[in-house]
Amino acid sequence: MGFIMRFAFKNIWRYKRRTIITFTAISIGIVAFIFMDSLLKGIHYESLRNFIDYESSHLKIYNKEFYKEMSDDGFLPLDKAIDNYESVENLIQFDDILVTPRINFRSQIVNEATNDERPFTIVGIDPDKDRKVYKLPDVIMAGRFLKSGERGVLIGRMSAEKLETKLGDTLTILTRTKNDTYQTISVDVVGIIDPPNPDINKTFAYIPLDIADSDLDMMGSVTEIGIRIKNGNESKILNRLDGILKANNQSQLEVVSWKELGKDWLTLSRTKIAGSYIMILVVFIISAVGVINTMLMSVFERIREIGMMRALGMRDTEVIWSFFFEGASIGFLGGLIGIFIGLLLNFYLIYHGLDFSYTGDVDIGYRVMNIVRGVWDVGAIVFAFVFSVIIPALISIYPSRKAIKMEITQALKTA
Amino acid sequence: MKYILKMAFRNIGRNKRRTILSASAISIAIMLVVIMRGYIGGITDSMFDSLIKIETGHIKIEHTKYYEKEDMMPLEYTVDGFNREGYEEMLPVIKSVEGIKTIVPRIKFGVLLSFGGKSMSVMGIGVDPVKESTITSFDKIMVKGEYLKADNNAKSIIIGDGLANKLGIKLGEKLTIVSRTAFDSLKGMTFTVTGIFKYGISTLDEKLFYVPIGSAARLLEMGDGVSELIIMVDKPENAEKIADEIKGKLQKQEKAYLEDNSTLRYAVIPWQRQGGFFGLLRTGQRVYNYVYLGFLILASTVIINTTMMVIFERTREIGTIGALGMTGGQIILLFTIEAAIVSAIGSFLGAIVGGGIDLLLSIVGINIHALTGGNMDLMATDIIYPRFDLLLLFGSFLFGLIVASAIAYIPARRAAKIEPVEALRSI
Repeated sequence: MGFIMRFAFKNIWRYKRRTIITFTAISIGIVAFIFMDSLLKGIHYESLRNFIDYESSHLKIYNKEFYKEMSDDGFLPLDKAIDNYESVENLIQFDDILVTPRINFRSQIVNEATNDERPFTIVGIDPDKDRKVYKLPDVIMAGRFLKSGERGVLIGRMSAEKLETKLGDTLTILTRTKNDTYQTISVDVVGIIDPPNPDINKTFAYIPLDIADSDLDMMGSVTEIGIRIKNGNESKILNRLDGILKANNQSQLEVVSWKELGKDWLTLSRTKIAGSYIMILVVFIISAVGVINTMLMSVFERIREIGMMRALGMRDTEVIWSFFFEGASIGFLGGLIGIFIGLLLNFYLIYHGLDFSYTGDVDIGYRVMNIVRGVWDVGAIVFAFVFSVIIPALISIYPSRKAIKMEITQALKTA
Repeated sequence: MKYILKMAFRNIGRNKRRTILSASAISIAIMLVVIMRGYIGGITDSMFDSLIKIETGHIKIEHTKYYEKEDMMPLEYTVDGFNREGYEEMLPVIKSVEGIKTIVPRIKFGVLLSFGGKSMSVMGIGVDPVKESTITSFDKIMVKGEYLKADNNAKSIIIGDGLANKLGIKLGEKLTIVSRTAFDSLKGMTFTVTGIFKYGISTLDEKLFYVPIGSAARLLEMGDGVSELIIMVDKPENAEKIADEIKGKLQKQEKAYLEDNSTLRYAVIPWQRQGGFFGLLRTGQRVYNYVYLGFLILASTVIINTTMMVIFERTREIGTIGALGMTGGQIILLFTIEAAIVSAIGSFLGAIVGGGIDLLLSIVGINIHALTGGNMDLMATDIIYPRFDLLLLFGSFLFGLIVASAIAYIPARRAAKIEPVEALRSI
């Protein structure tokens, strides 16, 4: 066997041109496959990450009645909030998670200068805790993040454009308090954010939690608690939190995971993934066709040589094995190079991204905007590599078997 | 020349296996290119088609203030003629522009629809049943009951099947719509559900209902105004030109009434200049085009590979014919012709088979919903009908032919340059 392997290896170098052609077929196929896979999956994962980083966090705690009204009708009833936040926070503090309170409420924001008015969802955030759970500070494009106690607001770039407002302007928030009385809150624009989720960019604004608390008569209650998991298994932590809440007479509260919160668009996403898989499959097929074809051809062209090998006394199984090893090693090398180039391209795709921006602002239905980044899909890379070795090796069997069935004299006569 | 052509044909027949292998690689590559283009084209066509029918028309006329705040559907800014005498006064002026197929009025409004204790925030469209059906063939999308009768003031409503399911409402039941009017007061009106439709686009089927335009106007106290006029033209690509013409005519008429105000009250927007969803689609299309481009490159490497392989393997043969006196130019010509013939056969078969699959799927459709249990959004229907396009078939055929013949030149030239003695020595 050792001899056959050495023999196969020598053959590879002997026919450099043929090797190079097969080899490029394999590596280009792999590069294309890794790239497509990364791009198409990247679109999906990017939208998951954005959803978690700017909207859902990993887990959220709601009052059950609040959650029901919110998911059924889209209402945010302040009277069904989580009462006495501090005591709840003390219950659920443990090492694996980070916790932050939020007060979400609906309002109109009025720009007094232009008398323009638009509906918004306003979020009261605790600046110090919130930045550990969500990633708003990462997307500030002008101004700064909020400070506790200031009458300031963070708004999205797109909503700023629609409201025709800029940094330093004063906006008026029209809303109702927890006791259902009308309230106006005057705030200065301290920062403009540009989050990747167009929904948030267009219709969300952020003010400090303590301002929301006092102006809405919340008396220390909040509408939701966002939780980021530092380490550990999500469903285990969900159960643990659930247990803690139940054991402490807080069974009116409910822990919800981001998968539940995003289930509507997750099904949408699944379909898009299916659509993408059709394309990845086609890419795989055509790469495989390229590899199979060159491999078949390179063995068929060597029938004469096979005849010579057999005339010199090589056994049939040895002939097959030698071509098998030859195919496998070309596949191995082509695969390595393909993966190397694929990874380089992928680095570019992940750290730089492809800019698909057209004129103006567009979102492409996915929760990403304009720049699409790739992902590391180790599974696909391993898959591609394994196939790059297996396909040429297996394919070599067919023509070499055909060749050894020929009479030696016949084989030697073939051009 | 004739002699070389004959020789090329004979060479192709002489080594059948080689011919079959390279022709089949080329044909599979071309077939997949055709299918891929059809699939991608089908997705984008479906999106553009529903967007034009439901959202934008080929040209849309709106009050300029309405256009600015389109996403909020402000009822107070209406299309209501040149001097508030009603939108119908504008129709003859618009129609005088050539190339217009239909003009369809719509009233759009957002309401919180409540039924049996459940509420959903949805979008209503008040339509002229007869005119609207010239844009969308409702007969095809009605799943229960019937489309609206030709009565602009009937109290009937047709709703999307997703919405019907969510509200738990059935055919024949009564539904009260309470809405803010154009004068900001609240008003209610009761409608009977006479039909349930299904576009196959989940975002629409869960969010949309249609009522006759007259009833909508009374519910919303719109008078003779409508939110928008949707114009369909004969040739969509001319929409921009036609829109400019319409704008000019409207402006002229309006000036007769408004001496002080020089700005036009109405925005005339051809679909090419639509932002929002259209921008989003264009980005989507861009992504798909990149994918397709990558795919073309991959397909050409397959074609290039086989063609080069075929010629390199025959260096010895080239040496022989060179030794027998064939010139370098003739050798290059011979091999290029051979590659052209093989790739013509392969590309032709690939285009035919790929086109056949496309044609079949464009009739049957690929049901993404059944395949995955999810829905497409982005205004694409659940069932994708790949685009079947003869021009595409021909283009793909040419693509295969040109790539293979052009690339054959490289190895053939190299082989032709080698001294016959050298070439004969190689295996």
